[in-house]
Amino acid sequence: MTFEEKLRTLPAAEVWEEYCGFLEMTMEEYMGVQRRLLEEQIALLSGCGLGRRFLGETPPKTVEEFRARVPLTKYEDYADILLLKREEMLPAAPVIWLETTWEGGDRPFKAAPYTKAMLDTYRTNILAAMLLSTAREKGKFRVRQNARVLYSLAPLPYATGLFPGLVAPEIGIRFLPSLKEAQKLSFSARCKEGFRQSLMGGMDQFYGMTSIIYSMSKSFAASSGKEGAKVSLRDILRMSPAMLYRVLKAKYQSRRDGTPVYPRDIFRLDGLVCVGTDTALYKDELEELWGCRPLEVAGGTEPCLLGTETWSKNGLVFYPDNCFYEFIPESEMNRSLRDPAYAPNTYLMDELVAGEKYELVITVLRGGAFVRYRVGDVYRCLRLKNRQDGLDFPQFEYVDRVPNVIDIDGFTRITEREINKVIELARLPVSDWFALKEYDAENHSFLHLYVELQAGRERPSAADAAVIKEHLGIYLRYYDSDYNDLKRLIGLDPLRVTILKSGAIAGFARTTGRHIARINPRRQDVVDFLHFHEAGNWPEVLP
Amino acid sequence: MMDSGFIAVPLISFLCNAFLFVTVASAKRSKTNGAFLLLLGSFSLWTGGSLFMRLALYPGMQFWYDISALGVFATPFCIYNFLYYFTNRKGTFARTVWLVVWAAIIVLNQMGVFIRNPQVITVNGVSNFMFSLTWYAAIPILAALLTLLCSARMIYRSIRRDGIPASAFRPLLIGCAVMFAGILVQSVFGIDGLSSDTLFCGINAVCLYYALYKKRLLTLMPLTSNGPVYFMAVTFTMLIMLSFFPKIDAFYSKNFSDYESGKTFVYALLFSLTTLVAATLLHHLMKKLFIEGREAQEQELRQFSYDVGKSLDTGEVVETYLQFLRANATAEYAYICMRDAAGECYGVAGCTRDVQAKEFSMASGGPLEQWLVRNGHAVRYAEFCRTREYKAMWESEKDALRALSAELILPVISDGRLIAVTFFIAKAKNKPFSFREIGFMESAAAILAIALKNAALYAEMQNEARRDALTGLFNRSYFLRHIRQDFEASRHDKLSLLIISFDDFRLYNELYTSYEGDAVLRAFGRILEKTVNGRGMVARYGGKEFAVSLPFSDPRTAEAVAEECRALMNRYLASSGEKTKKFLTFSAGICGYPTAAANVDELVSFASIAVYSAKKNGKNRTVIYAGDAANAAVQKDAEAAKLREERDNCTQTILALTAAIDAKDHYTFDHSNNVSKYASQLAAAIGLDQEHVEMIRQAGLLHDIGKIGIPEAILTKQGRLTEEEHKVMQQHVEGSIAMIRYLPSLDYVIPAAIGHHERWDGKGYPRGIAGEEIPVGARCLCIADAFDAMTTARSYRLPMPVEAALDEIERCLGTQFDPVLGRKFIELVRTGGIAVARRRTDACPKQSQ
Repeated sequence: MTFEEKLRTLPAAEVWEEYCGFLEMTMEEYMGVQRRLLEEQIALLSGCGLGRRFLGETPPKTVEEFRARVPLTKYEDYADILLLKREEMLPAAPVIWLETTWEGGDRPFKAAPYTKAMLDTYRTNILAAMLLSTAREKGKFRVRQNARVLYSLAPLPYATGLFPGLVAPEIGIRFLPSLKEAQKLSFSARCKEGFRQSLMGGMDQFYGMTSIIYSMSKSFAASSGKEGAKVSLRDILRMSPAMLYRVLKAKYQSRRDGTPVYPRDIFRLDGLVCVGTDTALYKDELEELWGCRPLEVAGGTEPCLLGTETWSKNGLVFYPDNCFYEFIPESEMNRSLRDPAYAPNTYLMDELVAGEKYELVITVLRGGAFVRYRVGDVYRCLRLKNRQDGLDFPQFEYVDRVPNVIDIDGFTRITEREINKVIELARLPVSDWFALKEYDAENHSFLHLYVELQAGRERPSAADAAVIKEHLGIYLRYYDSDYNDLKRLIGLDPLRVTILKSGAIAGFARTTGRHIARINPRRQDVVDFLHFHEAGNWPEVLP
Repeated sequence: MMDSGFIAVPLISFLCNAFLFVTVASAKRSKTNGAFLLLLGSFSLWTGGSLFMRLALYPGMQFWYDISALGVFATPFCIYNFLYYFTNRKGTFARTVWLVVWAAIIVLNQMGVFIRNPQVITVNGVSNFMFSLTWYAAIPILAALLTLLCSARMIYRSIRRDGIPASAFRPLLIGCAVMFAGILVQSVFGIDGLSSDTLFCGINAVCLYYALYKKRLLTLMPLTSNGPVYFMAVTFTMLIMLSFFPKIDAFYSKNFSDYESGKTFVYALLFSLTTLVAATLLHHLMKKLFIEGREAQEQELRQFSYDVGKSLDTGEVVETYLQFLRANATAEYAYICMRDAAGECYGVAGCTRDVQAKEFSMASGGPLEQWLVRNGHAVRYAEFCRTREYKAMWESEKDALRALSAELILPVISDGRLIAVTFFIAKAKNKPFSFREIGFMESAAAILAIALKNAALYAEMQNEARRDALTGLFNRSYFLRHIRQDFEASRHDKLSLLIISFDDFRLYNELYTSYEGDAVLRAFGRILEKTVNGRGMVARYGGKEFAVSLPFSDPRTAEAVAEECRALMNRYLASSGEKTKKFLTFSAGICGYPTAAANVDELVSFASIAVYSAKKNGKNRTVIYAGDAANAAVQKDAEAAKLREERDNCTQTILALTAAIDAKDHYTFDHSNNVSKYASQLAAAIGLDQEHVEMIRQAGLLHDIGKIGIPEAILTKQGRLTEEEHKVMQQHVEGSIAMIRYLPSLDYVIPAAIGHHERWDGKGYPRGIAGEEIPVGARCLCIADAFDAMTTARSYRLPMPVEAALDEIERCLGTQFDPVLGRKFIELVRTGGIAVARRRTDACPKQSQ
């Protein structure tokens, strides 16, 4: 029975129970599902070459033994198998391979195999998110058959590209643009065409990357206030009567009140689903713009669809049947970053502390390839239970990537290795540098690169900074296609460059004994360094 | 003359509605049924009034018109009222409002506000019912529309909220829609020769019949016998005859004018036949509307309960259940899966089709089991797939369940534990299981649960009766029965019997307590079972004896089993974690058929002799019986006689041993005599029986026998012993045991002899046991030994005065000595109950300290 048939023939409570029933699990039940599915995964892994690599010849018998014996892994541990797509080494036969950028890796991309069972789980979980996005309270959802759905998600081979292909056979929703049309268009053109079509005929649900939704919303509001943004006759002729009425009404009210036209004035969204790392920053503003609180979902290429918010849209819950979750506390994570040989302790879902930040470690279930894999995402445990929603297990918010990676708007992930490469390619006389993620007044994240030119150069001017920025920007776009997308799709220039006086970084280290990390150094270190830099009296290094 | 359509349409409609009315009226009453009856009553008034008006029956057209109109205007409210009860709505406000509205409409209609000039007009022989509507007629039409919309809302809510399937309402909705359309047609197009309103009311009656028969809209329980059927048949026949009498009469007069005299007989016969046909038809139709076969189902369940209760064998119970399913389950076939004895999984125990025996197994403790135990009722496979437990299923489990094509999963639960599951496969024509069918099967499952529980309890009792409670192995009586079966099975082949008997097991119990003895018996039982590994039957044959029947095996195989057990047993004893390794061996005897024995009795007898032979020849060995039967008997008698002789020689043996000590070390000889005397007197004084006192006496004589093995240099050393020499001296205890254990008739003295250096506070040696863990004989010896050592002269000191020695014993009560025995000993010495041996003054060898 398809999702649509269920919606049509079953009581709403049964549909809710099937897809969102996991939200009513007790902590014990939740862990029961986790442990049971991990046992299945151990059994699958013990029969394949990849599994034996981590589990050894004698597979662990209990979850505790698994955690004690199997080391934490990174993509490098899988690269020789996954990049060559050696299916005979995997725990189950994949039906599709997804790809994503390998930040700081030896190759430009990472590949991840997906089994049929994983896709089934993905489908169920994304449909759960669909129900939750339209729900205003527990069990009360509104998913229309033939709903018009705008999706501005990254296409295949990214994980989000699976969404339309999996959902379309389940429910007869109308994607904007249609799947057939979308295949012929670039990602950017698809987003624009989808929005245009939704303007003509309306939109019931919107799935997209947060940064793109935000950018589209802002540009829509901005353009509506301009003189040139009048509705053309051609547009009017193409519009459905309902949309025409809404557009005209919104235009009238905008002109009357001198306010811009917001998407909420034109669209009546049942659900707004956001994917992306900086969603938390934009949520309130998006709710203001669309009149509908966005539902955040979390995921990635390796972990698939990790979690979703509930109907209250106030914190992520992780699906119990997707991955086996372990969490590295922040202190342990930092220690392991400083000392790569250190094996940090991990904690399970029922061992967390509210308010603490944790790095996520996953073992992909249902025949997935990744075992105790450090995804590189950091989450904060918001609360252990949510009495209001009746949840008995923890909720999270996405914090950021691990400190040695700079994530900009969910598009690009920049590492020390990449910046080094860009500096090298640009052949700039940079002697030292550090970079960190900062936010502007509008909460947009950007990459702030502090560079120190080689000794003997004249005192750099503002013009020099602009030239260097331009230079680095070009090479970043060349070297990192995701960075290029960011600039192309959202129109953001996420790079700021500050030129430091020669020897400042080394001088600071000598004077204070504190070394500034290359990527995302501690805020306090940066502030102190800038004061130190401003004072400009550091001892010269003797030859 | 009235045309046929003019009469026939309302007649058929009336007959349909009246039939339903009488049927529901003859069922047991409930609020919902009552509301439905009211609805059918309004339909019957509507169509009946219309019919009787057309027939121009008494009291006249106006009366029947009013009745019909009452039915028409009461219908919307009756529909609302029925759905109100059917969907279990709460709050009466809306219902009251509609009641008032429709009551007002009925009154207004009586006043001629909506319909005027109702009359039957015949034009060219075609009759029509005519009336005119006022503009106010829009009011009841609008009210009807609103009432029906409210009803539809109730239906929608109950579908969405309460989960009542939409299909249950469908015939009702179609019937109402058709009926409302009929009224509109009548109202808009006016005169209609077919009387469209009653026609559609009749169609509605057919829809309702369908809803009652197929969808089981209501549960109709029959109240009475066939009375209502006959009453309805007669009434219906009368109405038919009344309606068509003029036509029939004309037809008869025209075609059968010659038989005018038989007209009455023909009509009576025709009436009777019509009544009979109508009664049969009505009976058939009515039967379908009542809970079809409910009583038959109850009868089936009673019979099943009776059948299944007759057997206490699980296999038979399952077979009875399968027969029940074959006869009653609507599924194409069904599997029953039973929990295995180990409780690890559920495997197929039977199928209603022999050819369908599938390999299916469900692990115990899985999500499906959890769901079934928690909810305790059957679940459709599709519904289970929608539960949160399904999320925890392994893919392989999902695949197995999917491959089974189970439509319905029925648990059999006993004492909160799932003991079996029935999987019903694909119902005919893919129809879903109805609630009634599921309820029926659940009742059968409940009966099955009791039967299976009884069978399991019986099997458990039976098992307990043939098992040894301590080891869980089969007991001797069952073994002796079973070995005859083995013998019959291997009559043309070979069979070996292995009997194992522990050596010195009483001693082991004495040394390490009977608790340890029991533990070793249990452990050995497990070792034996593991070693035999299903090749034969293992039993506890006696207190310390085990027997193994090995069909199709020769004595060498049995010997290999015995030796493997010996190795495993030694490993077990070595791994007990004690300071010193416990010492326990066994002797094994084997007899084989047909090489050494000709029947079961000989097999058992000769194997016992072989055991005895093993014990006689030094224990801890395996002997295969090789002699013939006659020799064996002689041998057995001879051994028994020898044993008696050995027992008689016990005293001489002790004397011989003590003489050996005397020869090596005279001091020890005297000391042993003294200790023996003191300890036995103390034992007698505390009330031990004669045999025990004698045992302590003998133990006293032998307690230092191990000193024979101590070098003379140490034994006769003048002065204090060094630490190393002291350790050597301490070994005399183990030496004593090593010597005594080879004297089967004296091994009972070992516990007392071995423990005479144990201290009350546990600081003694060799085992470091404390308090009453120390055998009483050993405690007596301990005091006697110390007292004699103190009161005899040593090379480095003079003998202590008796009183001083007693004071020393008193001082050490509760630390070195048993306080009760010690006090008794002091008392005995002081009162002369124990005569102190004459003190010697010559230098003496060392006494162990």
